[in-house]
Amino acid sequence: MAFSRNLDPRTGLFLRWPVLAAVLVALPFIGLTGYELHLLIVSAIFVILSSSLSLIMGYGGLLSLAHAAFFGIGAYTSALLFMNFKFSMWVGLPAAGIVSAIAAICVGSLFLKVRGHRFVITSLAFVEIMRLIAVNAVDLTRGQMGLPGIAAPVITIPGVGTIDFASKTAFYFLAVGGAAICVWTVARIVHSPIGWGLLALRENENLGESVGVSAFRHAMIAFVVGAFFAGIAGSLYAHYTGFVSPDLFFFSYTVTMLVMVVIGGKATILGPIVGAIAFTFLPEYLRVVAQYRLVLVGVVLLATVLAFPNGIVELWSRWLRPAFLRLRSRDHAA
Amino acid sequence: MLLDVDNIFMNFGGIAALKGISFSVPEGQVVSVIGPNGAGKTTLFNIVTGFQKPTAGQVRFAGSVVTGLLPHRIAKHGLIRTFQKTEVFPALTVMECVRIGLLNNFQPSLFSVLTGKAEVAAFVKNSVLEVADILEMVGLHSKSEYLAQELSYGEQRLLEIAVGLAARPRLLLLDEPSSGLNAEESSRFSTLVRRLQKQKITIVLVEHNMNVVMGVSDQIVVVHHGEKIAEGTPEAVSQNRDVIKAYLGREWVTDAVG
Amino acid sequence: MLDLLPQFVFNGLLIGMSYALVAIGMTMIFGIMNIANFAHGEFYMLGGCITYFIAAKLNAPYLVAVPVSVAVVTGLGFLLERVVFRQLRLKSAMSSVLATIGLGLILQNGALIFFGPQPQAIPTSFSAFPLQLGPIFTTEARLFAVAVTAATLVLMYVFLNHTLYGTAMRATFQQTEAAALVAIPIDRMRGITFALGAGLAALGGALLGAIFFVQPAMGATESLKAFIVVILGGLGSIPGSIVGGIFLGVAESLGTVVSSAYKDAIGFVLVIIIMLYRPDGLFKKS
Ligand SMILES: Nc1ncnc2c1ncn2[C@@H]1O[C@H](COP(=O)(O)OP(=O)(O)OP(=O)(O)O)[C@@H](O)[C@H]1O
Ligand SMILES: [Mg+2]
Repeated sequence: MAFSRNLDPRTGLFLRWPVLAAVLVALPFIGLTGYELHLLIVSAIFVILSSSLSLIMGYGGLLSLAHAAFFGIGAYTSALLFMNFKFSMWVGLPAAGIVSAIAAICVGSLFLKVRGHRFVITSLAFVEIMRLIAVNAVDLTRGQMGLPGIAAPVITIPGVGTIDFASKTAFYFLAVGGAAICVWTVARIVHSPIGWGLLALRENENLGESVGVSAFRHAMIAFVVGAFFAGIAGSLYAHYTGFVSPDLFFFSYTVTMLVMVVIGGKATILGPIVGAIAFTFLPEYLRVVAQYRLVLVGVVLLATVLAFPNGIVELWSRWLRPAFLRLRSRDHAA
Repeated sequence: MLLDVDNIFMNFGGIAALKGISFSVPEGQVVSVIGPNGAGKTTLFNIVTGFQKPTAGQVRFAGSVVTGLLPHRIAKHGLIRTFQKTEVFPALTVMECVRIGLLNNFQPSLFSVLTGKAEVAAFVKNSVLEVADILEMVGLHSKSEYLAQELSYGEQRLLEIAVGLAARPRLLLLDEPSSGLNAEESSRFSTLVRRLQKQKITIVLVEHNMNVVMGVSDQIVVVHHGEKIAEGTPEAVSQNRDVIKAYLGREWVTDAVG
Repeated sequence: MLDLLPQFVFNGLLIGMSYALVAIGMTMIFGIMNIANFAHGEFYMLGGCITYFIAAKLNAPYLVAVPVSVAVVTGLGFLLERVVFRQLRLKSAMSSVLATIGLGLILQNGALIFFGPQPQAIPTSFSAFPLQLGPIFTTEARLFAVAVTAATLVLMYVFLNHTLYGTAMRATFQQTEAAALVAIPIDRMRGITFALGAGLAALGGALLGAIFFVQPAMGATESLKAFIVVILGGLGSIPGSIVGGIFLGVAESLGTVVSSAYKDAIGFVLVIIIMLYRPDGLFKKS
């Protein structure tokens, strides 16, 4: 299919899979510091979050502030399975995705009947309720103290040996693998007839309904698939950091994801990836302006919404790329 | 009868917009619903296509009762409408807009999309040709890469019809399709209606442009203050006293009857 | 237990009236511009922090600091309406929510840079000595806050119902197009409404800041509370916001008596139920 070669026809950015895969595999072995590897792992987890959120808000046009809720639900699912039943991540990871997806089906069957501000506010209230549950259900979650000591998994392959994912290099492959599956799934959906239906939902729900596109069905697919991957990201996070707490439900997590999606480019495949990597790495390298960081993020977010509703990826496709092509053709002419 | 509208009542708070409207549409015909502003024509369309629920009454399509179904369910029966206030998918290209209409015929499950079922690939592949055909028919083939919001008003009206056609309607309800079209676009529209008629698509038309109405209709239903005041062939209706009275003071009636 | 009831109601009233001050602005902005302003609580925060700055750092009396900080925030509101919110009017709910989240980040973290993260007490000349009024124990600062808030709410009522501007504002609120037809300058009404809303929130921050503490992080919580209030009262309804604010304040205060760990969650559950099933709020007859 077309999208296996060309990730994103709108941005005109070609990503050749073999090249990309080779780069991703080589990265941990080019002498990065442990800290840089750590940032790559965090980026990969955020790529999962932002890509799945972009499916909901970029393609489906539903501004969900509840994405952090499914992230948190996934993280707690994994953590609780580990703490109480000693289930490793191999059980916890799929369980986290499934529990988040089931939660999304329950919540979505109520919430996805309303739109606009009503949906935004409902989703915000939901994440707050989840946070309060995490804080107050002390018997289960230990409240503010959180759940520590969630170990990374170990795998023994006969003939090869034992891989301990407590090592950053090993976990890197796990996280990047998760991100790749998520991006692949999202790309697959948005370039399929389901994706056309999502665009109909975003652009003009009534017109879509009038030609047989169920707004509710498509909203639900995006919401549940998005929640599934948010749950997966939560599980990866829990087993990577070894600790979960009610802070995962903080509005600031939601804002971080939103910023990555919006500034990267809402309805693109590449945008949220670029956004997630940029907003994981930049803050670390902008230490000089550390205290102005969030102010800057706010300014950029505001400016993006007002001036570049389609994010920085569009900056590339609309201006930089044409300029680049013009330059190149001039070179050829000369 | 393909469509039976049976004794429909509609109240908005205290306002009775429809007071017991009934009429039938035979397969293959063009039936126009006319009436002065506020007569209840759009409300009638909304009820037939499930966008509003009637206070009382029933709508039957090809034998089955569709009253109370959600719009996308009704669309699946082949009952497709356009809107009075032009509706398109503004930020999508013309081609992408029309493609959405095709979803009325086939919607793959999430599972078959993720597993790459052949039928999905085949549908996607065919969609290109099918969209091209439809755009050709409405005369927008040269604009397929334009964004819907970049089109002129008249082109957007045609695009909306194209989206409806992609849904493979058995019956197409058009709400004032030629309002705001210039003379050339409006004659192109009349030609289009006749072509659709040839393709055995039944059409219900709400229209103020009497040249169009008289030119294409097999039957006319006249609605006034939420009631049907006349029904019949264009000739019969245009000579009906009640109809003339209802339209009194509106020049185009005398023109058309003239 | 029962003899403490008046005390709890009074405490709840105090908090509830401050919720109302913030919520009024938020609901007016929603009514007149169709924008859910996620940054609105930041005006409350700025009101508190600027009052602190004037009173503590510039050594001005509290009674001077309050009106000055309210004036500053009102001006800021006017400016922001011009620069930011005017552009958001015709945009989708998604764009306007994202933009106000961005603005909230700017205001909150800007305040963090300027005022620092520590909670601060606003110095006042009020006596810290408790006063007894019948069954209620209180302080001068609390009485002052209640009196000023009550007076402001009454003034707002008179302004909206008995002045030309107020009537025009309500007209714009209810029906923008009709208001334009009778030549109400819609743009100016929006500017004034926004500024007024910001000023009311700032007043809330300045008054409560003298009782509790002020810190840059307090705006975000206040935004959430105001959202609950605005939704309880019906999006766009000013009387609803006042009733809703006092209702929430008193309910929270009594909630501490009943002491349920989940009392905060109740507000959010109500919000969800109302948004899904009663979008006009709790108090409006459907
Ligand atoms: N949602 C609604 N709420 C209240 N009244 C409505 C609503 N929709 C329509 N009406 C009223 O019902 C009556 C019929 O309106 P409708 O739009 O169906 O008329 P119409 O025949 O399509 O008119 P036009 O030729 O102007 O399009 C009008 O009096 C209108 O004001
Ligand atoms: Mg109409």
